[in-house]
Amino acid sequence: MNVSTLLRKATSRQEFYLISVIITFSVIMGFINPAFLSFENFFDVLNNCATLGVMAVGVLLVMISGGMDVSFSAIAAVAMYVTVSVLNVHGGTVFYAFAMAGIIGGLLGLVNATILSYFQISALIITLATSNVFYGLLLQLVPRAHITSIPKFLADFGNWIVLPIISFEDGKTIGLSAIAFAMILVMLIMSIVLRYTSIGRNVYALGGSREAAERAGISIWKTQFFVYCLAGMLAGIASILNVSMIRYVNPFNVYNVLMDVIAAVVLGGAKLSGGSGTIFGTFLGVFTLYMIKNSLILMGIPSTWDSVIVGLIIIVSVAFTASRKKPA
Amino acid sequence: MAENILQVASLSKTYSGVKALVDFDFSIKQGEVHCLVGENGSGKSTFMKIIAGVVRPDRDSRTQILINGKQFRRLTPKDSMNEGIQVIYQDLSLFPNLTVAENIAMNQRIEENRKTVSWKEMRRTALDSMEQISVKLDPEELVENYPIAKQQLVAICRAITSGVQLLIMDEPTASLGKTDVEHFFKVIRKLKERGISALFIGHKLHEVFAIADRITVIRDGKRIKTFDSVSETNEHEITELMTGKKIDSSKRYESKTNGKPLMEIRGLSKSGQYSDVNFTLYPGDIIGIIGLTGAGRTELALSVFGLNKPDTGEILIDNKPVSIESTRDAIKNEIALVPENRLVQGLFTEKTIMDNVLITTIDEFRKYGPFLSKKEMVDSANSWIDKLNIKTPSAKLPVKQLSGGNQQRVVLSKWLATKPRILILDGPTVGIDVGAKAEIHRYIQEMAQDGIGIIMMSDEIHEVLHNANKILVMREGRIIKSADATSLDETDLMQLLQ
Amino acid sequence: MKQHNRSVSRVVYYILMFVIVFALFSLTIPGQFLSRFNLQSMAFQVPEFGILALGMMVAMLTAGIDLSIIANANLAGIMSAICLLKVTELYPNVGSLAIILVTVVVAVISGTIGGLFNGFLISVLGILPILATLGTMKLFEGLATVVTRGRPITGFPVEIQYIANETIGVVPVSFVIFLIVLVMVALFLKKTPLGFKIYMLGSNEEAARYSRLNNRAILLRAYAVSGLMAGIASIIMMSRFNSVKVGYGNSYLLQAVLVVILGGTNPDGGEGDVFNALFAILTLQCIASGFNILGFTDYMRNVIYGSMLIIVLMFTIMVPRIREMVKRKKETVSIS
Repeated sequence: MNVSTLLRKATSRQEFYLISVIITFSVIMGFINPAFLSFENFFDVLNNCATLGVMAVGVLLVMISGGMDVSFSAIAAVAMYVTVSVLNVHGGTVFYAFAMAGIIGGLLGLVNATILSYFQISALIITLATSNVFYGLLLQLVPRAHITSIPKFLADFGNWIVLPIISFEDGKTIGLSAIAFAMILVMLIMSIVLRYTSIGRNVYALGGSREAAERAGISIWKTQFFVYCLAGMLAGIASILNVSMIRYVNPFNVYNVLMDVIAAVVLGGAKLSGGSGTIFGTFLGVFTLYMIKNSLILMGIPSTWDSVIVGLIIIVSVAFTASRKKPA
Repeated sequence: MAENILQVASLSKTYSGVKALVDFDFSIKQGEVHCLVGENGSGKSTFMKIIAGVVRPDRDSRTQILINGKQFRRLTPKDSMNEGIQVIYQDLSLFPNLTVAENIAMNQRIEENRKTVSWKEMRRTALDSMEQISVKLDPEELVENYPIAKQQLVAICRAITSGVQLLIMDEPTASLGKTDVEHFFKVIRKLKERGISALFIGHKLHEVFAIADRITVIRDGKRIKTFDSVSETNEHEITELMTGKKIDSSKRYESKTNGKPLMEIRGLSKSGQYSDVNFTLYPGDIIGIIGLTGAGRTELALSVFGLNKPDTGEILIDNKPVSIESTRDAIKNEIALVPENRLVQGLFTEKTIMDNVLITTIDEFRKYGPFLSKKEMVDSANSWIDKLNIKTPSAKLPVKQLSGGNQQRVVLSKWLATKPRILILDGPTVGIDVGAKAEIHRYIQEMAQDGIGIIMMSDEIHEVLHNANKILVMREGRIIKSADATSLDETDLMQLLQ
Repeated sequence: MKQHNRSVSRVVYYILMFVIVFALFSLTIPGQFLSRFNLQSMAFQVPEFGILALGMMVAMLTAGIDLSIIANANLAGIMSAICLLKVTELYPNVGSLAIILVTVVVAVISGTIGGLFNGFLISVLGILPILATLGTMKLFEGLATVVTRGRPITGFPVEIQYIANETIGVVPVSFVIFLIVLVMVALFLKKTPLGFKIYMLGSNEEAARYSRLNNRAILLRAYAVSGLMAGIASIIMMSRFNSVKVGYGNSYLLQAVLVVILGGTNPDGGEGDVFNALFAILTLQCIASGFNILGFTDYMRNVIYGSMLIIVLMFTIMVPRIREMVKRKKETVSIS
């Protein structure tokens, strides 16, 4: 492979542009505020990425298959509330927390999958409907769904630095946190699943051409169940990461990340029409989004500008992709 | 005598009242190439889909499907594949977003029901398969980055990876150039030597005669005749059997051309599509541009209609140079286009006949301030239904419920409503049955006699020969022959096209 | 003729649905449901949400969607409020007519500009509607936050409060406005060339291009209309709460999509009827108010909307299937 084909391949990938953006941005920010380039800030951004990152993996999966899921944030809210309130009463371990939230998420995802595979209707519409049902039921049953105290083991998990890099004298350590580690683990596992398992490849095939997949003998039904259940499960897991980090249960917060997650996945190069997208790209999408949000804080720009920036990022990145797709 | 791999009897299929296949009998022996020929819409594809297990035949106790001696009541795609039947659809059914290697290895992976994938092995499978038919493609490249001819080879490679016994191909040469076709036939012969049978579905007769062992002609869903050897018949006979008409080869359209040229095309070129196209259209002319798919005729049509900007060259209308860069320019110059793909480009299939007929002229029905006059709309639609003899109970029937011939009449009326001076027809009778075809040809001639200049693009020799007064033959983007229709006959055109 | 009858009977279904739901609540909780207070409060609640639904419907007819419609309405309300307060501050003695004029004009212009921006992204830059309006949703929300710093703006002149809180006889002014807007949208869609083209474009974009329609211009205008609806809705929202704030009415977004689809609009474009949508809106309002009386919260309303959407979709898909099955059975019976 010569240089020009390499270059062509590189420039045809969203990852290439995102890395360029991240590097350029880091250099500029480094000049403006050296704090930006510190380890502390890097791990801070990584930590903040975790919840969104894990949810984004689920959404990515759905998008690769050519579907859409806007119910994951409602699923996360339900899984989070139920899990924490059960564990608050009965106690448990971190493992229980993840398992339980994952199973609840998976079951709710199963609801999506069942309706979708039985009635081939727009996935956006169906998940919009189920999202209303899940979230509405939660708030109907427990109108003030805030929980201010969470089990100690979750709080500890949130504080745990798995891979310390720098320790300060005041006892503060900087390094890879368990939360960030969990996200990276999920992403690694899912990368392997998507690349090296048949079901993972079937997800790409389904998104590439539903008809061809059907003709090739791929079970559309099975693949869809896999995709939507897993997306629900990941939303459940992500919700526990969120609780461990912010230490109280606020379903509104989790519910409202919906658009940010979708934005990050699209930014990461996944196409709504299905068939393309990578975990690494999605990670970069999430990272870029948080890096920019974070640098706004460091630059002293009020957080009121957050939405403007996120909106502009979405518009610019999709406009850019749209223009790149047009034949020259 | 070799054994029959596949044998069917009394196969019928009805799509919402339309008979696509009627009491069809068919068989294929081991190691033979059997060609199924028929016009568009004759039932070829339906038959193929039934054998692939994708479409279920009508329930009928007489129906028999025998594959490798096994009787099947209900054929699923899986059954079909398990019996070694592989289908290459016209759309190829590839995954554009995946690599060549993964596409080729796809069937194998799914048949073996693996849980994991090995990229090394997929690569090996792909290289093996490509070697078998002497093809060289980059296994790591995405399929969408290859041109259609190469994609076709990927589809063949995929089909032969897993113990294939019968390869069914739906118009496999439709988008291949001449050298590609020759290469493709070599591949088929290689497969034949290994005892693999092929069912070749097509309508390009010279290709059929080059490759077939047996030929079956299908028309209106019925088997007309099977020839056990190509030497028993000739292209002329097959053509007559396919169309069901004795062909009067002397019939030609005569133009009452008067005076000034309507449109002149000078040196029109677009890289990769067509180059140096020249011709002059007079009122009353029907210029037939004949060329196979991929010859550049559709691209040329779109350029004249403002949907495909040419690189160089001039278009003159009434001796004045004009620029046609958008469909709005086409409106200004009174140019209309009946596109090739009727169901996607020509019609709004979900909408009513009335909506479809009025879409091009809807602004003219604004009567009360900004508002439309419903009565005038209905009247106008009904008058078109009468004029073009569209068979329907009401103007408010969705066009998807009409037959192909009636649908094309709707497309014609929608353009005639704009009172065009220049009408471009791209494949005006694709997928329309014989009777309706003749009537549409009659309308086209009438329109020309009313003074419209018509450019008719087609890949059917008879359509062009009997309905145009001037004929241009297009191959690989160039006009290789330009002559009066009276000076040409079937054999000339056949040879020019090859 | 057949087709015509069918489209007539569709409206009948929606009216029937409304009547049944209305009757059910009237019979089970007659005292409260049929009270003048309840009926009036229902009429107060329908307009802002109904107008937003109409805007959403126009976008969906083009086979698109407008996720930014609520954010656009909020921004329009805020723009209008700021201008209004500036005007009353500079000219304390300004007349009622001028107050209403400023409010309406600014809101409508702001909403339409927002819609035009969506249309630009979608038709000129070729961005998928769902992504384009997702982006502008964030953008509009963000601009509104920046302008107000997230704080509410309150204290409007009485003329503004009049719009959504006064009645003409027993009918709220806002409900009358809603009906007028509805009729105008219906006329626009069914009786003007542009409306005709919107339906056709939504049904098959490629065929529209081949029919020499100017797809760009049509899409641009359709989204402008969607934005215009946001602008009109914003006036009613502003008046009802007597304040404007980022995030007001955010829950309407999902509801607007749901109600439009419940009203029979095809999310794939090209099909939908304003009057069907009207009865879907009214039906849902009955359900919402009825359940409210029965002690359910607003959240339950979302649950019901969601479930109803799934059930209705199931019906629309199951009914033809069942019909087909019955037909087949009959055929086999007649054969044997």
